[in-house]
Amino acid sequence: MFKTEALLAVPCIAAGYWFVRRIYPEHADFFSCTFKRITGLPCPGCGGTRALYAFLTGHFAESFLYHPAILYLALAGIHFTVRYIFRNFIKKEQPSKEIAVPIYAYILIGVILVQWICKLLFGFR
Amino acid sequence: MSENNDLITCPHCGSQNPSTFRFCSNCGEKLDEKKEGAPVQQTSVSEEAVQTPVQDPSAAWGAETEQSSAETPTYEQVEGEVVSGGAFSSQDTTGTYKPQEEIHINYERAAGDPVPAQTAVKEGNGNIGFAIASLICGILSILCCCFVWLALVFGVAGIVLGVITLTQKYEGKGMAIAGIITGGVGLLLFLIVLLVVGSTDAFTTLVDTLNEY
Repeated sequence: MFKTEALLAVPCIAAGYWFVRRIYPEHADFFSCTFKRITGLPCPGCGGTRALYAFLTGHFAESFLYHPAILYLALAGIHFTVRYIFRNFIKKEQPSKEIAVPIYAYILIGVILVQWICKLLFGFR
Repeated sequence: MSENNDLITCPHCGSQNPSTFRFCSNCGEKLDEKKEGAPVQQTSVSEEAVQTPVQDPSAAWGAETEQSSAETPTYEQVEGEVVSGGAFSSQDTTGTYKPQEEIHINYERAAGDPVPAQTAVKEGNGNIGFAIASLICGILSILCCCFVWLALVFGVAGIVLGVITLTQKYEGKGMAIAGIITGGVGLLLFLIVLLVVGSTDAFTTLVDTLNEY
């Protein structure tokens, strides 16, 4: 029933585990921001890697402070998954084509821009 | 006008109509000789279509032969009412007739043919992939500003794909616009980095990032 979703979830979980265990502890410097190094200002993606690491290690508040888009993407994914399951297997309506997926992207853009403005105004290390 | 078995030939257009018909189902001209020569009141199609709502499709022109005998008495008995289809009216003693277009429409309805649903013209031609790709590239160009060269690549890609979507009138116009805007922001951030690169040190730092990758 969830064959496709399982096939997609397994590599995602493996990649997340590999990122937490091997990539980030050993190569954290690789993710330093060039934009900040040159201009001294944080870019819209600053803190994303740290936020992802914090989220994957269970520190959700810390993840939100580093970059709220990571937590938003996780919540949006859960929201979409619940709607998809409800629509396809409980209510048995048309598949996810009716779910307005672009709305998630528009909100993501808003989250990124708002948090970037907040970082510019209040400073970010 | 000639009669052939159960058919009457219209003197105006020559089409064959059942003998029980009084008006031609093709052009709307009277088939009845007794009422020929009566002054005809011509009205516009749009006016008649608005003023004459269809009440009983079964009594309109084009009814089946077996039903026409039942419809004709209905028409004769009704006075002072607008008969469905508006092809003619019992009040119409002066021999007025409705425009051909309205009769034709009523004929289709009476025959039981379903009225074709007017489908809205689709805005795009079904290709939504470009819009989705534009939006994704635009978002990545913002998020990947840490790697300024990726911001340039994704920004250009987002703008190009968004422009293609709009010019080719593909589906996903909103996503294309969002992709163009976000790609433009990514490009703008890259340009800011270029502007700030005024000193040799900053340019060296920018080049070093390429070596790191």
